Amino acid sequence: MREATGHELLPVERARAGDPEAWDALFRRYQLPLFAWLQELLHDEQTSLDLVQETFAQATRHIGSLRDPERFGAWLFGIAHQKCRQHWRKQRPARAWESLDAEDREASCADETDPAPDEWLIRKEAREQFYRALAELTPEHRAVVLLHFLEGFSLEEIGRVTGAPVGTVKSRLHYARKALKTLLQAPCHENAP
Amino acid sequence: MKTPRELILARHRAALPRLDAIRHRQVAALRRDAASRRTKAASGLARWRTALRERMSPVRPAWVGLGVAWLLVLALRLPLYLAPAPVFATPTVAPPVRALSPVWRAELAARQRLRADLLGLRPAASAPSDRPASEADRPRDRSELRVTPRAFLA
Repeated sequence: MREATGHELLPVERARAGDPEAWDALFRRYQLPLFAWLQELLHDEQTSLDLVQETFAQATRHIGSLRDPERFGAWLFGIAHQKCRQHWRKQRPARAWESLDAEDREASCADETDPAPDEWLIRKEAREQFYRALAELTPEHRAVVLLHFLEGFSLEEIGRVTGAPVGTVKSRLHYARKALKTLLQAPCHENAP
Repeated sequence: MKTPRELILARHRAALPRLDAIRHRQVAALRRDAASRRTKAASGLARWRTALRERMSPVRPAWVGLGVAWLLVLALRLPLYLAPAPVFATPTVAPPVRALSPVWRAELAARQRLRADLLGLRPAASAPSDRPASEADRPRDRSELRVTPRAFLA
């Protein structure tokens, strides 16, 4: 069963007022998607748990900076993304997270008719291939496609989370989905007579 | 068949107990903060109350006496405030003007003359006559008014 995404009645205003029960409800709602996203990006369970904790702590401290309560999810993932980038900088300082110029150049070629995340259905026997295909994507592509799958964020929201322009997000999402499809279809072609 | 979201979440569901522990820790910290804020607010109020009591208690009879005095004043003044304002009768006849005494009349005439002199409104009766002014009445220059030693001695 798909958990609730999109426009939900989350107690963001109560959380803003400092109600611990409201925070409990918000954390309960986002803890697993946030962890899954971080874990798929970092492939390090302990670091992912630490970053979830840091994200929650920072969210409680800086809830005042959230302008639109309906975008709480994107705001929370944005904090997690900052933490993730800090971790990446420590781990791989030479790597440029945003150096995807070629991708940006091709942003205009992105297909705008990509189906919604709900429309993607994966067969039981293809699950492991899906995980493997996901792991083979670059972190930038993985970040975008996971946000799309996990929370169904719009391009604009994904752009806010990752700090990338909408065109870049569109391009990354397009190529990530294309790569996933190719990787998922490959074994079927191999098995075909 | 499952959606990618379901697959991804299912893959990481094993971490839920640890995530729950993190959530409980965070919420417990928030509860502690909220409780400490409430305690701080309550202690602030209690501090004010204690300070006020400490200042008021030693002079309680004085405060009671002052309060009673004010109540007494209020009780005495209240009928005045509540009573309708008296309507004062306006005099229809002007008070009689008393005749001036001769002394006052002479003083008034002198003042009127002085005023006329100062403003150059000398009445016609005192206007200069046609006869030529004597040497003594002629207005003199400032240089002639200088007091010489001889004139001074004279």
